[in-house]
Amino acid sequence: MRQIRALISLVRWDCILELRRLDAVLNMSLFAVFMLWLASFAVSSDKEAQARIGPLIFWIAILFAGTVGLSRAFLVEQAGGVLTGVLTAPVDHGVFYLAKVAATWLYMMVMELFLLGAYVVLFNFTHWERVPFLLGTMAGFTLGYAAVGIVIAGMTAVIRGGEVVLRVLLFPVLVPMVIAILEASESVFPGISLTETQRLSRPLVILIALDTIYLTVGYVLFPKVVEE
Amino acid sequence: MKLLRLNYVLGWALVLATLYFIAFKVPPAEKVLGTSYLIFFFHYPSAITCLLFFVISGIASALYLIEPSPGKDRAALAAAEIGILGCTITLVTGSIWAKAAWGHFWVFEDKRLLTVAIMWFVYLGYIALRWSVESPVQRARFAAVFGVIAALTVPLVWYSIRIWGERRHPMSIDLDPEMKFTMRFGAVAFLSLYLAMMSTRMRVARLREESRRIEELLAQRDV
Repeated sequence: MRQIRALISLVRWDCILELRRLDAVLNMSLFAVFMLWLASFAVSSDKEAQARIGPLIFWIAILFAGTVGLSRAFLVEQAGGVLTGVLTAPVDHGVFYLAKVAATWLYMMVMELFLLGAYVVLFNFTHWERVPFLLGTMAGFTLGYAAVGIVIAGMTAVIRGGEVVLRVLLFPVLVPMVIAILEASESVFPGISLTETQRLSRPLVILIALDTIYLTVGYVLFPKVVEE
Repeated sequence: MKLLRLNYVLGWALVLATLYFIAFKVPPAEKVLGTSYLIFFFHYPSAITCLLFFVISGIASALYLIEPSPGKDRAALAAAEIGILGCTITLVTGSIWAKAAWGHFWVFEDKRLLTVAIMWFVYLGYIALRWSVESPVQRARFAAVFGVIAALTVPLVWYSIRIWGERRHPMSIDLDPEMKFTMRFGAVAFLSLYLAMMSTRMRVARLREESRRIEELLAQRDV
């Protein structure tokens, strides 16, 4: 119970800091929407290409914009020496990890909502009945992204050329999740037909399984990342 | 040192014996794939041994996190490097075979090919991480953490066909007894050679650490 209270306090603390600066959410959202807008030039006149390539651009924008948030995940703690304080507090390091994952998930979801709004406008998305499923897929993908991303960001935050190394390490690990969401996209985005073998349930099961694995592994490994 | 030399002699002898079996024992052509199937006797052993070495690297990394020691770190690094070598051979031979069998060097729908490429990139990232960290203790700790994450790609490759239902790479292969024997013999040959390489790599890493320590001591004396 004490650990749950600590988790809520840590998430709230992170959110308050973010609300004051709007650092991660604003930068991630601007970056993602700009990427989508720029890519939309390439397919602006071709409706078929819009439907076919649109989902891919949407997920790639999330993939890249997410690293903007991850590279800032430990900025405040390190700058003020707060990390040492948090780590010496009577709170399980795993709880600190879960709080970081929850906060990152929250910021990324806000960014993805902005991106979805931009997608509706730029790619003429009108299939509103598919939005709940799309939100579910986004939530699942973002959870796995944050779970593995926070462990890697914890390491790259303290090393030379960390931002580049973060992407080099993170993207290959996330590719299985990208495959799953692209399969799921076939039923969410219009223009791509859902084949018999690629039914909806499989990508979702893969996504949930990967989320569980990444969260468990992250919870176990993160204390080793931050230990002095 | 003598044991290491013996390992190399044994490894190379087994590889040469595999070449002998490929040249004289197995049929020169297969009904469907023709002569191109012969590359399978390099492709399969390198694939299976690279998976094994990545598992060794993952176990050594996990053991390092439980109880740190330089030996475990060296084993994890050496196994990952030898695994990358095996994985590169697998991707190159696989692409050559794919061109002959399917008409393309790279088939995007093939999830086993895709997952092996993911594994290759993940382990290259592992090496990149090691290069980026300056402090030896921190480097070993971070590499061990990422080594455990990287090892998660091994079951992904192994079960890729079952997960995505891909039919290009077969789940099991029905081979002639000579082919089956050569395939398994090749795997043992590659394994012996790679084990010899791994012990050399661990030795090089240990000597490098010792020379760095001596350099530091000399620098301290000069000051």
